[in-house]
Parts: sequence; structure tokens; C-alpha cells
Amino acid sequence: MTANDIAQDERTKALAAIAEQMVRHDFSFPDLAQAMESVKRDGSGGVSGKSGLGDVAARLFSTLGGIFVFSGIGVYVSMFWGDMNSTMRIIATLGIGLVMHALIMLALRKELYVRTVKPLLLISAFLQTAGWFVALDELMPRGNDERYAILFVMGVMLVQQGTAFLKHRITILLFGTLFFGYSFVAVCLDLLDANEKLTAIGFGVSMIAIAHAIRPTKHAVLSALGDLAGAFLFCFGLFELVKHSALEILYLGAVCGLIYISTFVRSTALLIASTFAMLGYIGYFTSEHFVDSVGWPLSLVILGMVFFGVSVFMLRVKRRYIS
Amino acid sequence: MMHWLKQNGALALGVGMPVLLIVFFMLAAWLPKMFVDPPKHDLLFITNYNEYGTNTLRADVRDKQLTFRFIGENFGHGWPKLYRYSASTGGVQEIPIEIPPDLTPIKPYNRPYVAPEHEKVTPVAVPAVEGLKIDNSSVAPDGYAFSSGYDNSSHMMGLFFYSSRYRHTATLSKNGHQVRIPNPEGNYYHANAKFLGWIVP
Repeated sequence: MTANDIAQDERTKALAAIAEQMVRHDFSFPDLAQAMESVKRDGSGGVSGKSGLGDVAARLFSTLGGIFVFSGIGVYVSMFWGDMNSTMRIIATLGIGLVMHALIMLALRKELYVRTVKPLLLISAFLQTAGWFVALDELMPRGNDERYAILFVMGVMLVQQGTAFLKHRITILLFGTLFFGYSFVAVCLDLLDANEKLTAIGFGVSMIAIAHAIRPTKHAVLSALGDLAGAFLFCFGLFELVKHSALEILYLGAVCGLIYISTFVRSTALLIASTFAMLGYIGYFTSEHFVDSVGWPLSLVILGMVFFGVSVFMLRVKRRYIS
Repeated sequence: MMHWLKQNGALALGVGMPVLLIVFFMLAAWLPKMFVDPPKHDLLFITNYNEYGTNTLRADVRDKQLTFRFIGENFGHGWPKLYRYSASTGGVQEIPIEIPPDLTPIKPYNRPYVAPEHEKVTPVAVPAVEGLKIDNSSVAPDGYAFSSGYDNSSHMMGLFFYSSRYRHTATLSKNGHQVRIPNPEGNYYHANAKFLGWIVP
């Protein structure tokens, strides 16, 4: 294959990707033309969010502001917690969190504030979560199973983060929705005494699928995290399920499948996670079957060479199919 | 609908999988209940129990009677706790074990402890269990078996989300139907629960 053929192949793939994105996001030809003009003019499609100095400064100060607000509330609460009555404790945690959330929702009506309120969204979610637990502890009689309290708090936070995300479509709210959603389901499954290995496999598949679904959207930054966490849970769950059984070899097949999927969905994070899963299994298999034999040092050298081979393979796969 | 699923297959799988898990495990928890009768017998179990050492409380079941005796000196290292599980309510109640007057805790650093040739044995009366008929068979007359301990596999879910699996747990099981014995104090399975016997009529 000549260099020209490779370049032509790349162009064909790029064109197919552009067409796919246009269909997915319902772009018209004028939208595309406008973005192309913008790229030619200043190197940005007008949607990439290339930050100016003012934008960076705004985000820097909003982050610093968030840190100071959070540390101030934290220090106040820790200093006077013992002197506070129930009402004060609830106000200092849940009250502040709820008021902060309401103010953020008001501020989000103006597009200008979208980037600057992100740290406050995190702080608000943290304070509310802690605050609901404090409120339940102070107001309700102690039950014999804390899981119902956790289920309630995760459910309330899921509804709040979910509705806020549907309204404002901000990535950090999507993160909150997913986190509280998975936490809610995790507590439900714990209450049902669900098999933890099957749960981990199910969560892993779900996270990888969600990561793939959000990859082409503006929330794509979360997809790497989803792929990593999903692959970790899937691989650990499956490994624990088939370990020391006749089906153990299935694990290796599943990890190879994950590597294939990573090339199919073009995810570097999934490729890294599944490669580590494979290396881990090779190490485990070697130590299980060769650790007390004379060939152990030799197998270590062979293992090292296999590792090199896998890393070269991984780089090739990344270059060929992902980059 | 099918068109939407084809367009958003990954999203549907991502959202649907946790829902499927809940439905699956709900059925797995409920179906055996429909075919297996609930437990009929109360049981006694003890926690923080040292089965082999000296200077500790021992529980014995002989001729369907549960008795307690203390072996050695009482250094106050925490007494085991005795519990009764009620099959009718599903709850757990602690049965107090009173320390006999001649077993007043002593502090080992006040005087050097010399192990006697024969350890002192002090009977400990627990009026709440006197007269109860105790069957210490591993399987109850109604077919339920008691098991305690913890799943020693890696607790990967706990790294990301809530998981109570790190705790010691105690369960009754029969033909796939499991009844988890509740944990009113939060950590009374801390030192594992040891089965003493079923209370039989």
C-alpha cells in the first residue's frame, strides 16, 4: 500500500466520520459551511471552545472561589459542630447546599455563567448529600439498616441532578446523574443480596455502553472515565466469577473482545484498561502455574517479552484504528 | 420504538442493564420465597466468642440444654454477646449475660498472672435460656441451615459505590431461599457469629 493509498484511506474514513456526526447531530450543510469558514478564518470551528485569556481567568477564579467557599463552610462546620443543635446542623449542610443549588439554577439562565458555576455545582451536590444524611440522622429515629437511608438520599440526589441535567445539559450534572443513578441501583441490589460479581459485570457493560453513547456528544469528556471504570468492574467481576473454574479461559476471550470493542468504538481508555486486564491475567496465570518451577525465571523473561509484544501491539492498534 | 433502539442501542443497553439487574435479582429473591416456607424455629447465636483460648466464656449444649462456664480469670477483655433470632418477627434480641460476683474483672498489670495447673471453672447462669430446649444440629427441623462469615472475594463494587459486603453477615438458607439475619447494632458481627442451636419445642 503506497503513501497515497493510505492518505486516500484516511480521507475516506474522515469523510465517513463527518457524515456520521452530521446525521447524528442533525447538522445542515449551511451549518457545516459556517463551521468550515470559521476554521479557515481562525483555526476553530466555533464549537471547540478554544479558551481566551479572559475565559481561563474566569474559570480559574471560579475554581478558587469554589475551593474557598467549600473550605470556609467545612471549617465552620467542624469548629462549631458540637455546639450546634439539630436545626443548625441541617441548615449548615443541607440548607446551604439547597440554597446554593437554587442560586446556581438561577445563574444558569444566563449562558455567561455556565462555565463559572461548575465548581459550585460539585460543592452543592456534596453538601446536599451530606446534608440529607445529617437531616435523617437528626430528625428520624435510628433504624436497623442504614441502606434505606442511603437509598433515599441517592434517590433524591438522582432526581435533582437528573432534572437539572435535562434542563441545562451541563456535563457535570450528567456526571452527578450517572453517579447517583449507579449508586441508587447499587444500594437496591445490595438490599436484594445480589451476587456482587454479576452486579459488577452488569455495571461494567452498562458503563461502557453509556460511555459509547455520550462519546459523540459534548459530554465526551466523561466517556474515558466511563470506559475505565466500566472495564475495571467488568474484568474484575468476570475474573472473580470464573476464577479457578473450567471457564477461566473465557476471561481471556472476554478481554480480547474488549480490545476489539475498543478499536471498534475508538476508545483509548478502553484499550488501556483492557490491555492492563490482559497483562494482569497473564501475570496471574504465570504465577499460578509456574511459580515453584525451575522455569519460573525463564517464564518471567518470556512474560516480559510478551508484555513488550502486547505493548507494541497496543500501539499499533491505537495508531491503526483509534488515532 | 425499534427505530429508536437501533439509533440509540448503546444508550438503551447502558440504562437498561441496571434495570435488568434489579429485575433479575428481585425475581431471584422472590421466586424461592413462593416455594419455600419461612423459618419456623428461633435460634441462639453468640458473637465475639473465643472457642479455644482460656480466660474466656464457653457455651456448651448438652442434653438439649445450653449452659455457660467461664474458664480461667476474668481480665475484662470483653464478654461475648448472646443473641436470640425470632423466626416470627425476623428480629434479633440480645440476651444479657451477667458477670458472676466471683468473676470481678482483675487487671493483669496489678499482679503478675501465673497460669494455674488447672484453670478455674466458674458456672455462669443465664436465666433467659434456662429451660429452653436447644437443638444444635447444623440443619433445623424445618430444613434451614445457619451460616455466617463473609465473602472473601475482592469487593470491587465497594470501590465505586455502596456495598455492605465487607461486613460479616449471618444468614439462614434452605433450597436457595436466604434470610439475612438483621444487624441492629451496626457491627455485632464484628467478631463473627457462632451458631449455638435452634430453639425447639
